[in-house]
Amino acid sequence: MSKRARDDDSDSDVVDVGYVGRGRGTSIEGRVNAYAEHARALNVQFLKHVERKIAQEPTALLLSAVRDYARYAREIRDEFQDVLAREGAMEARAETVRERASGTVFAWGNGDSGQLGMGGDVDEKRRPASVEYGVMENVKVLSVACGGTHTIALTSGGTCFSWGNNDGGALGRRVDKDKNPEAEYEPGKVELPLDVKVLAISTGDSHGLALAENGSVYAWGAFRTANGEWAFNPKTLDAKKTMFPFQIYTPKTQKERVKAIASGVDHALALTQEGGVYSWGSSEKGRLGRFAESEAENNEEAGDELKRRLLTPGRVSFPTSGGAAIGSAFGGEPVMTAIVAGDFHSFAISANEDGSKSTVYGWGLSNCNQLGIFDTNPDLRGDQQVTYFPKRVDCLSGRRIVSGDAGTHHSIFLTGDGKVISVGRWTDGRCGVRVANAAVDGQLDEPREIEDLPGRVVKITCGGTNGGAILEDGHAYVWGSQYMGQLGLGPREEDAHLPEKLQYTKPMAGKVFSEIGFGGQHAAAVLVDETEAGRGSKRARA
Amino acid sequence: MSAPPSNTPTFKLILVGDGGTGKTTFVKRHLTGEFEKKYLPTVGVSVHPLDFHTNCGPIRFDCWDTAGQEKFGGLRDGYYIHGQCAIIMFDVTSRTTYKNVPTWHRDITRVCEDIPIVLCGNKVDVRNRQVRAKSITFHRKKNLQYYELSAKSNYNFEKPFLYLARKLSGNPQLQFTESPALAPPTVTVDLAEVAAYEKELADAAAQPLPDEDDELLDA
Repeated sequence: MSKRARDDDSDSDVVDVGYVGRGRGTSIEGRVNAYAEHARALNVQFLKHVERKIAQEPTALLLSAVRDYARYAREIRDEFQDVLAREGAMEARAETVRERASGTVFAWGNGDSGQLGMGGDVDEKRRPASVEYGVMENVKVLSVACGGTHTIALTSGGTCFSWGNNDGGALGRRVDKDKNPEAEYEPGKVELPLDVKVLAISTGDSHGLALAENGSVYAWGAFRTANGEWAFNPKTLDAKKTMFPFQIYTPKTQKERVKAIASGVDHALALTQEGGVYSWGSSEKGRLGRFAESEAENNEEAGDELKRRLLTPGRVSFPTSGGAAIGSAFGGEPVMTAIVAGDFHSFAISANEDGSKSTVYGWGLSNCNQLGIFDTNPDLRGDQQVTYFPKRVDCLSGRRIVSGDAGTHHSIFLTGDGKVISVGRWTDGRCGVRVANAAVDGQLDEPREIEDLPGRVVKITCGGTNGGAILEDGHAYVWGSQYMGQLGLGPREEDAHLPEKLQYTKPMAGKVFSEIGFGGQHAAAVLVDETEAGRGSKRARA
Repeated sequence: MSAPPSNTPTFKLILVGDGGTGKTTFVKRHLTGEFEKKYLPTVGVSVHPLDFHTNCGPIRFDCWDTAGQEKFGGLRDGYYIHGQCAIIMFDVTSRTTYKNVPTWHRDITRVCEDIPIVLCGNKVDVRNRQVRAKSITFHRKKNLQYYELSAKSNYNFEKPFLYLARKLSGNPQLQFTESPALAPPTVTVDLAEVAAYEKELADAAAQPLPDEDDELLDA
């Protein structure tokens, strides 16, 4: 594209071809300033032009002005890709630092598959215990992700460690049990390329995902269908599992960089800088949101072409009518700001920071109303109550929801003002709300706020049959199934039907919770020193 | 489904476990049961009448095998009502299926309370599985019987039924007097390997389960 220098032509308000000059030096600071000047010039020019036009003719069509505006904006974007990339990376880094001070991993619950990471002799912990075992000693941890029967931790240096059941390749590293029978029970480093710095992790029943600093996504493990282990890598369709990480998603542009990832038991979601949502994995029960019933079901029987499409990240389309909170003002694609992956269902949320504008979209299985979609056909058997493409969830939209997490048959959401909303099956106390008949199986008939959380919630998490929240003061509350000790509430087996405060063991002295997650029969958390957390949470509130 | 002889004790047997663990393969081994099975479309279930002959007379298990709706996170309580015994199955070669064993157990005991339950680890025919015997502890924690089996080779097919029959009859001396007609094996198990593993399991069972409660920080 040819560009004409306009550095000395700033008074002209006649816009034609080529707006962007290359001047202002080549240092990055100079270019950041130049970019800001251009962005300002663009808006000033556009405003002047619109004002003049409207003064001349109040009913004028502003099509040509809009075209010019779009062209100018495009040119700035092309010219300043380096600046935008830098800002994107800085934004991602800032987010990491702001929300997650680093600390120590604690784990509890059942450990017979090695998911506690405390060596082969530790089968169970009824209360939180430190995972400073083997390679995890003296490692600063940012976050932790619990899979079905394994755990992955992310360090402040951007490397990942894993432990637990590796039958499906969920550990992403070499596990030689002939050499070391305890290899699954001891933390080891996920074998990502050495130059990859990881910003975020997520994990399902037998797969792991790592979001790299450059906005690409690495993946390893296996996806299961209803009939067992199925496939994982779109390039090796016949292999049921992929034992080591490979790059599954590569952004082509700045705006296609991934900024968040989420894992269901056997599917994955990614959210891009521009607010697009990608999905891949098993599509059974509609959980990918981009396949009609004829293609979505019976993944086991899928031919190579369909299998490749299922396993390759593909963009999810959202209804453009019905008014997403952000982005759909001119009939455009809604801009998503958060993603949620449940076991067999998914959500995307479009919300501003305080949730005063918020729209929730859902898709997948809703046999217990876990999607918040209550108009399902009562004649259908539970497993047939499926929404194959994203639908606006009316009862959850406009409720200040900014993020969420989901389990097998229930979903929970965090609002901009620190409250938690539950929907779906209450059995075993998994919704954390008061119900008349808590001892029997049942489901909520509308989304309900969890009222028994004594303070502002800053983070929520969901297991298959339980839930947890971290409050502003750094305490954690948990509810749901304690059957395997996964709530960390001690020897008791009774469930917690309402949130209960997680009590501190001695090694937790002087620390507060910064992250918490549930696996199938265990849980893990990151605890940080109170002093460090104070800085972190103050920044988060600022 | 043929009616059992009028005096044959008949028990509803609930068969649950994740998709792909081999429940249907297992129940189909019993040829007369497979031949006489009946599909109940309203509940989405196949009922296989599995007859066994014992030294105390015949016994029938009406074995409920779902048509797939269990594959997405379980069955609602209606399915378990009047269940008199249960088998929970997982796949020893893909222990992700072990993850949901507590959930299945919870669902059964919530509705059926105190019925005899057997935990079965299927697919022991797969060579070189690298599972440590002590990595399966659920049955010990919740006091269930555990058997490893291979549905495809008929290995240990009768064991869970014998255990349940003894519990239901209250007669620990009960024996099967003749084997039911089973589909011919399609794989074989390495008996030496399986024997070594069973010994390992027995040794693990002799070890006490950890019984520690970490000290709480004073409030």
